[in-house]
Amino acid sequence: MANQATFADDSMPLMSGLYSAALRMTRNPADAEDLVQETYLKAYRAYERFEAGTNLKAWMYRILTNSYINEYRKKQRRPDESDIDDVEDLYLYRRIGGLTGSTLGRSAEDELMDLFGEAEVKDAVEGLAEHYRLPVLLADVEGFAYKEIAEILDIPIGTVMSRLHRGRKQLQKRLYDFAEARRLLPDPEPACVGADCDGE
Amino acid sequence: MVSDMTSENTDSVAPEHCDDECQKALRELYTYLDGQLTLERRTTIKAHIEYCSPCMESFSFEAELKQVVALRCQEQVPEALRLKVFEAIQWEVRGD
Repeated sequence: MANQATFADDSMPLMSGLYSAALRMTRNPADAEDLVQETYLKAYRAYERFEAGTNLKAWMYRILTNSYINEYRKKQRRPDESDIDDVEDLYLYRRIGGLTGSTLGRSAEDELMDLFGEAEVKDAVEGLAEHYRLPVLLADVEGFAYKEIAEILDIPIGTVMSRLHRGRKQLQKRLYDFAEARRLLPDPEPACVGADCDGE
Repeated sequence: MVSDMTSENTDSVAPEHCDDECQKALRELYTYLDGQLTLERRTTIKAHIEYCSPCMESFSFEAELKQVVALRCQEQVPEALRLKVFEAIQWEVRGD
């Protein structure tokens, strides 16, 4: 049993992650703030039922996610769920992999940071169909394990993995489309994937 | 558990010219980056990408992309929200 008196100390450090997730979910700062506040109040009221020593972060995200799904989702227009069946794995790498790391002394991460600014990445994530967006957020931004995501979203672990797989492909496609639209990329030269690529 | 999903991606991951080891590694690329493989699979893949530079490159790219997505999605909590939540909790405490 957790002690309500320690709730603020225990939970306040989690707020920036929860707020980031809430913003990606609601795509709107006012709703995100309301969602976070509501999450904290619900969590406080239920805190006596939280088993101390178990995963507080996952528990708070579960409350956040449920509140979002129950109360905010209805307000959202249905997100664009473009067909991703024809998006291959390593979509972005095959197209721009050759660019990154090409400049001496710069890491691929720096190159990617240049290519994709805050607005673009947020846009790409927020544009994902919702059943992909939540697993991608929880895994890639919040760093949850598959099992935790399964518990937070109340779906089987296999579903978490397949949604993550598809969601990441959709995300890569969106990032690529963005960069291409802005003409940030030279003509694509497919990057080499796997061994024995020299003879291509 | 982890291998459940890999079966569905078998065809799409790697081109035919890649050898079997590469295909296996690429199939589990994200499970590896997510830190969700068994120690045994993790060790096998780590050994593979250490000598296979094309695989190493694609693994690094995906790892860095994942990192960039995480960095770009970090938000600063507005001070007003922090205060509002703190006060709301205090209000609840007093109301008990």
